Amino acid sequence: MKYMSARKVTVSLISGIFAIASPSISNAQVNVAATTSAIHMSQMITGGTMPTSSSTFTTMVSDIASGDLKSAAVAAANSPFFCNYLARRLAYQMQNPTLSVGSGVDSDATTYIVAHFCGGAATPSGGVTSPSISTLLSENATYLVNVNGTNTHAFSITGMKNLPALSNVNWMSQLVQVDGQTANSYAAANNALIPTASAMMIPQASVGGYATLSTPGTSVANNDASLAFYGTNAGTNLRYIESIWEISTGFTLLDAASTSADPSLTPRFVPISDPNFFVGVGQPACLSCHGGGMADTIHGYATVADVFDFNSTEGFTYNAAPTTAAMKSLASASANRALNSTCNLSATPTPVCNPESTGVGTAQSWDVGQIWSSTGFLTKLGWTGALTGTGLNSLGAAIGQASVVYQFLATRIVNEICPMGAFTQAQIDKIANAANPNANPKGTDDIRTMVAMVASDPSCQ
Amino acid sequence: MKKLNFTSDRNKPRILGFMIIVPLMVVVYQNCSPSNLSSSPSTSLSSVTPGTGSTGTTPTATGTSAGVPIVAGHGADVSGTGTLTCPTAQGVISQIQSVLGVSIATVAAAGKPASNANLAYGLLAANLPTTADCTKAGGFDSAQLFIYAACSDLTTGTTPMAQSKYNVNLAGTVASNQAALIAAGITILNGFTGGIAGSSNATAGITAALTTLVSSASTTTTSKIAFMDVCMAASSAGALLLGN
Repeated sequence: MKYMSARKVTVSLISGIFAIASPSISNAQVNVAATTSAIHMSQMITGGTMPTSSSTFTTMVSDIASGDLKSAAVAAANSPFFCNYLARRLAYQMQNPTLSVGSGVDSDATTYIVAHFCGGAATPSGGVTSPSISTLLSENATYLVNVNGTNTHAFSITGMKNLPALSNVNWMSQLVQVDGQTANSYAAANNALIPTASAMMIPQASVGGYATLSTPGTSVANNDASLAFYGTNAGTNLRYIESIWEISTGFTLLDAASTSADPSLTPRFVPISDPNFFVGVGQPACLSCHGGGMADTIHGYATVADVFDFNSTEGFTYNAAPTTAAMKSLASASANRALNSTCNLSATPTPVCNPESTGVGTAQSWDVGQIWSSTGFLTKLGWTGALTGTGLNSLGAAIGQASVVYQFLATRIVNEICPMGAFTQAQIDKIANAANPNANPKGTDDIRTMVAMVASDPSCQ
Repeated sequence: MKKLNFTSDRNKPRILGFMIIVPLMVVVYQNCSPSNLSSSPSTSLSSVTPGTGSTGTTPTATGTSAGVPIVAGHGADVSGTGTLTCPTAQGVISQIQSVLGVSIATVAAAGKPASNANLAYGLLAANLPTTADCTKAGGFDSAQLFIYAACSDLTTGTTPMAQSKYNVNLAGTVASNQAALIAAGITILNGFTGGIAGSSNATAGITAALTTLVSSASTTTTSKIAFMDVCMAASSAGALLLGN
């Protein structure tokens, strides 16, 4: 067949375009160099979702033609195309500690993050929200999508992997802020197996920003891939607090671990009789993470352990007054909780627990100064907030003041939009400080500041 | 199971060809980074000391930050100039929809089938590219198949968009449609390149390539197939390679 292969033509088309794309060749119709750079920058910031026919793209070309890469990057970052693409990708990643985009499921949790990255959501008072990184884990609000005048949960619009329905959503101007956060009320009488569906407002002290948002009514079988689901579905909720730390700071469990801890700080279900409890053999000692790290009782676990759960049929629940049988801090299996609460090691069969544990208590207290002050981990976090508090909300607010949060976001942005770039720690710190509202001078609290700085960096051109 | 309503089985081998060529395209493009085209200063990969890559040694910067470890980005792990990002599923789909004017939101309704793009997305979604990091990216073969489906949507219906939007009379001969087919290719590429394809010194070369593609068709080739080839070549170049 003499028919010319389309792939050969593809090569020719590419070659044709790049052969002329040199600044040394004049072009009366199109500024080839500036347009090509604008396409590249659009690819970085909007994933190429910005049409080249849009006015923002024209602005970018103009800015680049005048040598102002930064303004071009700002224009792209401030456009809805950034929100629709990169902000959502970053939000998907923040629903699990591996930072995987997964299949890209939009939920109340991801919508909350997008709203905090882009601002522009309509407020109940008639205004619009401002971008805010610092309150990602503490603002007591929910964000919905205005679909033809009806405020709708994003997951209800999209369902699983339903990208087509999302293609026309403007993830900046169509977002609506709603006061407070809701969860289903835990129904103790039914032992959480089939609770009575009764939505309640999560108390302010327990609100953890996006981390305590899961689309109402979602079930295990139809989960919304939110961090709330990931953290509270089955288990003991340990992975919940661990994920909050890991996703916020980029540190791993072992980064925060320390053996200089007291067994009383480990959760009740961690067996003190385990041969690895005090000294690990071929593994870290249990005590190092469960007593001196992200997975102990004082570094945040108490704020989530017993009050949150994920019911198999009705999703995310809040338990205002947990009974022993409902306390996930005692054991993952509800049948073992009473045994572990007593923790009589002379009983038969011997319970798997730690009688020295003081448990998580009922006050939801946290104290990051204990252990982490002496191990230097607080310094690594760049901690500037309170050292102690009660409830996830105050912990989330304090995390939002740690400089590592902004540094890790800056690193993630580089690896997302400029993976072949070359950024030193000093450059990352500079980018992070530009957005850190606790830095001196005060940063913008706006992720788009960091995005524009990365995208306009010489190593990303 | 739903089957795609593509225009012809004869295109399937061509799709395989696309799958093979994509990695080559990326390599070709790597040496055509926009940084070569910009007048802005660039330290880029050429200014950093190559790391050992596979051994995992941390690359270090040179120049004003000589010897300082790189903590974000791969630095010199990949040789060449400029930076490189790979298109993700959302970017590819968005661009294809925007430029070609097809919609993956078109689902089946009474008396109306779902778009091929919709069906293809449903089948391919899990395999489309998920990361912009080209050292880890994959799924471009599936992206090619999605483009194939989207282009085929332009050839269906009572008045196909190939005719209404690109003035290609699918019932006519390739020869009678030659000018329209070439113009269609230019128009599609323009959508991805901000007009470079049709309004720059590249136009002559691109036109020549498209002319060769169209004029070398055999006498039995239909205009529908010729249009598919033009659409796929231009869309693949635009959505998967340019500007990344």
